[in-house]
Amino acid sequence: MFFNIEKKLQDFKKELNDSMDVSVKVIETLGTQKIGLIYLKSMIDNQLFMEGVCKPLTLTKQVCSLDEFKSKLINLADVKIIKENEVIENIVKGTVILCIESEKQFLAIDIQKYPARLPAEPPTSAVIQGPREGFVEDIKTNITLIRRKFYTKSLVLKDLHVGKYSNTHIVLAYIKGIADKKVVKEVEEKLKQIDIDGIIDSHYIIEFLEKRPQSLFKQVGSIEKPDIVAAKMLEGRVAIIVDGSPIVLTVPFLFLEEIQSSDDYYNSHVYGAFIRIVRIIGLLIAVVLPASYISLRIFHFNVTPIKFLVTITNTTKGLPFTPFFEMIFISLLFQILYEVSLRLPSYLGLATSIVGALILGDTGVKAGLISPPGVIIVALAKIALYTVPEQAYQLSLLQYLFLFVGGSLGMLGIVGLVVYLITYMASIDSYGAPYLAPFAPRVRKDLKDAILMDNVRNMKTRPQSFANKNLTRQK
Amino acid sequence: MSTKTISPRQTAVLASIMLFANKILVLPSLLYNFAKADSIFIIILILLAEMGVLFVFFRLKRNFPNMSFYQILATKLGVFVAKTFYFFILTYIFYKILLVYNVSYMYFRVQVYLDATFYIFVFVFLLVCNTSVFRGLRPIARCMEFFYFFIIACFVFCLLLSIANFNKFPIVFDTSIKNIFLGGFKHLFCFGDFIVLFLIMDKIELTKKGQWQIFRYVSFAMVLIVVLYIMFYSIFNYTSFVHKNAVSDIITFSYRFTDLGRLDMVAIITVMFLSLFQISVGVYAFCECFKQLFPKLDLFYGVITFDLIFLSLILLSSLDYLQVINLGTLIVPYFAIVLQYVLPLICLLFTFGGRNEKDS
Repeated sequence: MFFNIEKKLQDFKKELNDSMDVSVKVIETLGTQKIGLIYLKSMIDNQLFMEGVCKPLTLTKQVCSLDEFKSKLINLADVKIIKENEVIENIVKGTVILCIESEKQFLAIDIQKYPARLPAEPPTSAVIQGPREGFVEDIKTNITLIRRKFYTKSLVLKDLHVGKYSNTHIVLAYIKGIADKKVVKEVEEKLKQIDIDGIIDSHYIIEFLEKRPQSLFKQVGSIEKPDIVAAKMLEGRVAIIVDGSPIVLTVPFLFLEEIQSSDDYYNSHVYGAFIRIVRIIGLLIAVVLPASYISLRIFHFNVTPIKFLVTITNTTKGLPFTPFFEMIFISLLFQILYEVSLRLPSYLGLATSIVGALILGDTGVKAGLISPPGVIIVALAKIALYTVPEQAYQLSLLQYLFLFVGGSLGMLGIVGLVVYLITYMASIDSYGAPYLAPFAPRVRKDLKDAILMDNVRNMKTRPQSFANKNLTRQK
Repeated sequence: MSTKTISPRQTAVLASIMLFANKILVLPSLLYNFAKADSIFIIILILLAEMGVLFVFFRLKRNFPNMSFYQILATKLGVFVAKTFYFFILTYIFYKILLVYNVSYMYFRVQVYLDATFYIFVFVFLLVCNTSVFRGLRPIARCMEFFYFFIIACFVFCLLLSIANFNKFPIVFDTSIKNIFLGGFKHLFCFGDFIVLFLIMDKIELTKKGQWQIFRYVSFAMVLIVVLYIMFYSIFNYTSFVHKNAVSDIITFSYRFTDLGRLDMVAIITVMFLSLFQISVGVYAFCECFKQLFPKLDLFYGVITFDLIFLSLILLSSLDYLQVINLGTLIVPYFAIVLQYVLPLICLLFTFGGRNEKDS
């Protein structure tokens, strides 16, 4: 006899700080063998526990070893023999630990169960045609969603645990033979180096993966749908799945990915190209339009077409604000309404719209506080932000920056800021990939999937903007 | 690939964009004063000479693939001569930056900004150029590459619109050969932009295919410039000397398009991009020279020195663009002929002696 079951179980419970959800059970089999069980009742499937674990164990007539118990519980998902130092780690993950007095080792029975939502269409990545399933918070479901895209032995899933207290489960996924080993190693090392108390969401690790975390431009892809992740992995990217997060990260990340959407590939490539051009126009409208408008009003009224100038002059006559403050005022008003509508209960949404559109907008114009062109420009720019929904927050900040520059330095300032930002972006490198590729540096073959996208049949090679082991996609 | 080098395509784009410097705004009207419409021949002749300089650069790069221009000069002519040449190049590049700045400033002031102090221009130019230089040559070259298609498309758009104003081919052979050469000589300061390529030659990756690519891009840019001159002289003919903003004026003075709005905004934005890039590359080249002249001082000192001299000239002496151009026509041509053509010819001689021992 190696230990007293009751005492051992109590020791484990104490080690778990006598938490209220720790359950300890000692049962006796028909063969009068004592079995100790310890688990977290909040983390296991209680029905399965009673039917699949307790019942077969109590009905055992002879005295068994751990190996024999393991074979009796073979119908359960995951049963393995572990050492004493692994017991606590397994309990906190939702595993039932079984012990018998005649053996030093323990049996870990994984019947983990916790509330989890079913895969559904993510709100920011909706498609008209194409797969609608999205990632959920449960890592096992997310792995299954990715596995289902690749029935191959080449899919590699590497386990990691990050976070001193959260001990968050992170899985590195890539396709062997396509993904570059150096990138995989670099990502793995960066993840291992993270020394933080807890990882609550995948966004926590983005900054650890980015080479310039202080940058406004994101350098790690964040994806909510398994079909997109699968496509990226087929291009040679590495995916990082974090337990508790419905967002899967991918690296290397290029700026071009901002204007790509899964929808582009599920429609005709001609339409896909058209939509990408629309997105770029939307992006430009979002960032530059308000700034150009005020720079025209403040500095360049001489280059404004005369009819347009007359309309603007008529509608802005007698406004109490300068053009710059008028635009800032309307932009902030919109931002406040947006924040409010995000956080208010949905039944108040209509009321917010009425207050925003009618009372603040219409009455503001009628009262002579703001001008109709100003409202139109800001509304257009704010709506255009959502042509690239993943970057809406960053673009919104850029919008204010451009607004400030346009109002104080005019068109030259705007062009100067564009050059400044593009030079900055050109200096960013994401795991060996130039951020602005395939435009700068130009990678001719990758232009097939850039703005004027080609059809899938002609995309015979994988992207060459970043390292790939196997360039041939189809023959 | 080293993280500090630029690709042949980026070199081609950089060379093409530098080629536009000082040639598309005020130069056509200045040349007209000397050689009337025969100025087209001036521009063709000098651009051909520039092409020759480009081939000297290719040959030099092929013979000394891993050496900097300074190292070549120092090895072949001695450190003192190399430093002297670098000092003159530094001064010359500074003058060219000043010229680009002043011409652009006048253009923006007249065409775009009616009510703005010149601090705006100084602030934007210095801020953008300084930060670009600190980021390095590769980001600057990539940024140029990013906008290359846009700039060329805008330029071609301006030329296409100007077709509506095209009267007849300008009258050529209307002046003496002496005037053609004199006009060319006096305005040499607007050319010789490939000197920058020599200064950054150790940061350029050049292959045989790359040379051909650079040749194609540069030839295309030269053709566009020549077409601009032809359009300009054909549209304005005897009044060409009045129109100081060639690329913009060829579309502004068209009643056919004024109804559509101010289409010269396309030209304005193109010139804004071009001048920002040209000054950025110029400041980078200035700092490269500074680094060789004062090896113990880092990039920061180069940029600060440039800023201080530039600001003091702009703010204290209120140097305007006419003064800069007058200075250019009086003294600078002598410097220009040495630095733009004699120096490349000397370099050509180096290449006949076989590969440098150190390099091979």
